[in-house]
Amino acid sequence: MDIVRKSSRDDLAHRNRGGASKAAAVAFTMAFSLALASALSACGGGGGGGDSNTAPPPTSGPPPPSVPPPEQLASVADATRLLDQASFGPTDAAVADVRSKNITGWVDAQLATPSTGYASIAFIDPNSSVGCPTGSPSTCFRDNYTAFPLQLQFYVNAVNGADQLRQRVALAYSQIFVISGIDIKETYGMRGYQQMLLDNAFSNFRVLLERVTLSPAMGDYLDMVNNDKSNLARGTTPNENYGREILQLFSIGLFKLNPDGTAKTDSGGVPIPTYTQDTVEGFSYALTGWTYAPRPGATSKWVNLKYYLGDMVPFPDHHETGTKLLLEGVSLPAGQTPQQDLAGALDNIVAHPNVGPFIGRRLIEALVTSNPSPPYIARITAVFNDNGQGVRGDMKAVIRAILLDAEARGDAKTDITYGRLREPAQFVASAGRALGTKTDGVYLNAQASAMGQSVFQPGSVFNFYPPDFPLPGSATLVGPQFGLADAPTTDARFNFLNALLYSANGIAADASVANAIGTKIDLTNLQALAGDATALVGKLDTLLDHTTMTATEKSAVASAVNALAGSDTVNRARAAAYLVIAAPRYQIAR
Amino acid sequence: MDSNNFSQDRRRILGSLGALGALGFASLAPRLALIDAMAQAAPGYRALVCVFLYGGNDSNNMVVPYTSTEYNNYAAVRGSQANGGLALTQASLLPIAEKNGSVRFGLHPQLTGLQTLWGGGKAALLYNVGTLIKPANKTNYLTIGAAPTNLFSHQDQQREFQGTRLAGPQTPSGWGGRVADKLGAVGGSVPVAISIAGNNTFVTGDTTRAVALPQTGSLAINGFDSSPASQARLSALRQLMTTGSDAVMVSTLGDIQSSTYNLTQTLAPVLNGASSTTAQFAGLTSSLANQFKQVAKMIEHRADLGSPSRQIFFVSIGGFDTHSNEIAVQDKLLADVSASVTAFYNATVQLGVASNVTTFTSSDFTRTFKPATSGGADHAWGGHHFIVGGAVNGQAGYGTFPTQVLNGPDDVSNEGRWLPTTSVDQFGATLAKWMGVTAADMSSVFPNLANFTVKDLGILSA
Repeated sequence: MDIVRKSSRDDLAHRNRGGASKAAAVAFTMAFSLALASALSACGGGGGGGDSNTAPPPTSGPPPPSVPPPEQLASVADATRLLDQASFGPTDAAVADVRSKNITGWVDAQLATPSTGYASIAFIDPNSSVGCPTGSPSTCFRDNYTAFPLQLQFYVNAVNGADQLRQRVALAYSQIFVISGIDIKETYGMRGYQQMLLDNAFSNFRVLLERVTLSPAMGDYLDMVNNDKSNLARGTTPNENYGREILQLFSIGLFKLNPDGTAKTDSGGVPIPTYTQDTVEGFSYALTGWTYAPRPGATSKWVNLKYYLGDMVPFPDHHETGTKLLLEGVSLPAGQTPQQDLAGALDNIVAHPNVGPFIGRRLIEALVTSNPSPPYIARITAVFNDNGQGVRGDMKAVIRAILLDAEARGDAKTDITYGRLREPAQFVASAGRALGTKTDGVYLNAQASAMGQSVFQPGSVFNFYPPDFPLPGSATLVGPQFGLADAPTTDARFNFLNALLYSANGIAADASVANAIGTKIDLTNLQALAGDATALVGKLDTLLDHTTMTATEKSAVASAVNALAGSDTVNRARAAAYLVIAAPRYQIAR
Repeated sequence: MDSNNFSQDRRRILGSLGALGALGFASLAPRLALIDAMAQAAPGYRALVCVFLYGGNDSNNMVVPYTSTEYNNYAAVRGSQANGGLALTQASLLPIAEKNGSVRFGLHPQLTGLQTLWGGGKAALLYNVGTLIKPANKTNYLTIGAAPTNLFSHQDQQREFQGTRLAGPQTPSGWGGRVADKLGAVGGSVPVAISIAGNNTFVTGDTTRAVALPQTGSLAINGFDSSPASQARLSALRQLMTTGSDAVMVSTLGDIQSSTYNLTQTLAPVLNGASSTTAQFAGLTSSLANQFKQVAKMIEHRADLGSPSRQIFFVSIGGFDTHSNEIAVQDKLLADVSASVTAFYNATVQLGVASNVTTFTSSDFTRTFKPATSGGADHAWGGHHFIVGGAVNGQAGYGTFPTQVLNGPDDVSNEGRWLPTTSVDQFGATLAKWMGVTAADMSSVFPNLANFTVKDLGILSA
């Protein structure tokens, strides 16, 4: 079994899972949890910015993470590239901040920055006719039974929040560990889940996976909540929704992977599946017997009423008691409690060698580039497997390694396959930040939705786009965000810029939204340069394209600027910003 | 039938010309042009509309055995709804008689429109069709390589049902797109394959690209006027789209922008224009109904799009992944499907193209016959699908209905996962042949078709 052939440090955490007795399994789980808690408190505090920069290389396997010399002053180009990867986009102030701290220092400072987050929201009855009785304002449903209020806060935080990297990672997690506001309607429920992802952005993967698994919103979305043991009289068996997707989408994927993310194949060159239908049933059975936490004042019973605050709670009488087949031939013994089986099942997943390359690749795709090289993935896998201190699954170390890797860093990339299409949420937030925007989020949210991404509301657990969406016209490359790139959304990107830049007094406030301020840009800095088309284009090239615009591209923009009177600085600034941001050069982050 | 319509139309037009023969020569030229226009339009025109039911529609509750013995067997396994089971009551089913008058099956109670279409001979069912590489049985399907890659996985089975590439390296194309590749010159100023539901495998060709339309409204690029400065900015935008780059994604996005720019100019007048069929969709406001309205509009105004002789449309509806609460959820979804498909069929009747347009359903897979806790069912394999249109040899079921016995001859598990008896390749090839794909081209569009003896299921009139 791969699990027991892992390096000694992995064995420290996952020793003898296959043969563990019930008692040993419990003791193991507790010890593991304590070790995690200790590891987290050691690196999760406010002042941990500069510690443990260099992980010792693993005893074998792929090369260590490649870290540039920390003393070197970050170039403007690399600083802006980092801000495209680890924030919602460069601003003059952010570039200066990165340069003052250097790349490593800025990343470490971000890893120590607490969540801006979402204000907590009280429980509301799932029945909207109770929560919004007759006579309620017309906005009652929107403001309590949709993701809308959170979406607005998401964009306000994305444009302004100090916790830029945490937000980017949480956005990536929200597209891996997917729940959707289409089904989880109550705003307070979605709030709890998204805040959990922010809080655990830099957590350990085992902790994150348990938070996700016990989340009542996830429980509702993928039917783990109230999943009862088999009922012979009724002829029913536990549903397999969460048991399947936790494997396929949240952790290991369909095929066995090498540490570099390539598929392991059999002698005929065919990829080897990671699990079978029997495994799916094993995990489904292992995760039976959980219901919502009781509402305040209610007696807990099987089945509790829908309640999205607090973890789901176990009911041993409704837990399948037989043995359960897990990954790599491991089985859970019969007769365990729901908690023991849940811990055993999650330990089994986290120990699987696929998790590092699978999750690592997903995060690289979200933050850096759609087609990372196998060695890059292998370096991240090594950090996932061991953060240098014997801890597996340290996402803080993983994210740090992703951003500091040589394949992420540098002033410009020459590899023609490099880059990623900015997803709509990043596109509107980045444009907003670059243009000095003050926003209540309403316009940015509406526009990203028109581009196909209504944040927190994908069409299914398969997200807005699949991670392996084929880049159009390419037989080998993927372009996940290109899954949304069609004629209506392409026009929507142009039209977003048109309204943002050319509305005479900005985008007006929506009077139905509390404390609305609309969305207003500030072109002062660009207008100051706008008399000189070359200077204006150069400024935008530096801030947005890290000086990669070609002479042809710069000349095209400059000629449009020069078609306007030199004194018409506002329209010259508008034209230049429109063209640079609309151009493929910018929409692809490289 | 199409060829008959063609000759009837020719006769009618020529006859009317004869009656008008006293008119002078000068008036004849435009009338000859009219003959050309009509000869190119309705008679030669054919369109497919794929309705994809995302999430895996439980077709075990879409088509239910109606005779006592078979119904009782169904009800015993699916269990009463009062006990958390999934059995529809026999009284609630909508019986569908075959042409000979016998009633084997009833439809889900929400499928009233489809029941009517069936009764009128405009709808057929294909039983137990799925992603299958070669004929197989439950004892050999794994060992002889009949099973597709990643059975029971939504995303994979969606791609495979839409793409028919069931094994080995997956390519991005789907069978609808590949049909478009093979149709050759069919005229028209927009792509043959048109999605009203975003990018997807089905409409993606190996050599042709599809276009996606908004579900409602039109396409537009705002903010440009005829002033020199505005035109200069537009010119710069066009240059930035088309300047190209060594960076693959930059040039790819430029291509998408550039084709979008052109298609926006071409399609906006049609999309902004009126539709004569809106009354057929009265009261229907769902996303699926809106998608069908756009399809009807495109068909109606195809002369404004260069009169393509072939079109392939894709519409979709999600939410069928009913691991829990299936009865209520599927009830709403199938009501939408039935009403939308029926309204669209009636729109094609109004437009005079009912026999030129064939609509069919597809889905990831069906769901387990045995119910799961929480009132749902899990991912399974072969399921049933509708084919609707004037060219359909309707009021008939095709393929083989599975033996609904857990761990029985058609169940590859213990929960009622039917091994398909008809491949999606055969299903697609039947539709593609009607569209005009030649026998020689068929194997490259449907890579597994050669493994099956029957290559045309006979669902459509030639």
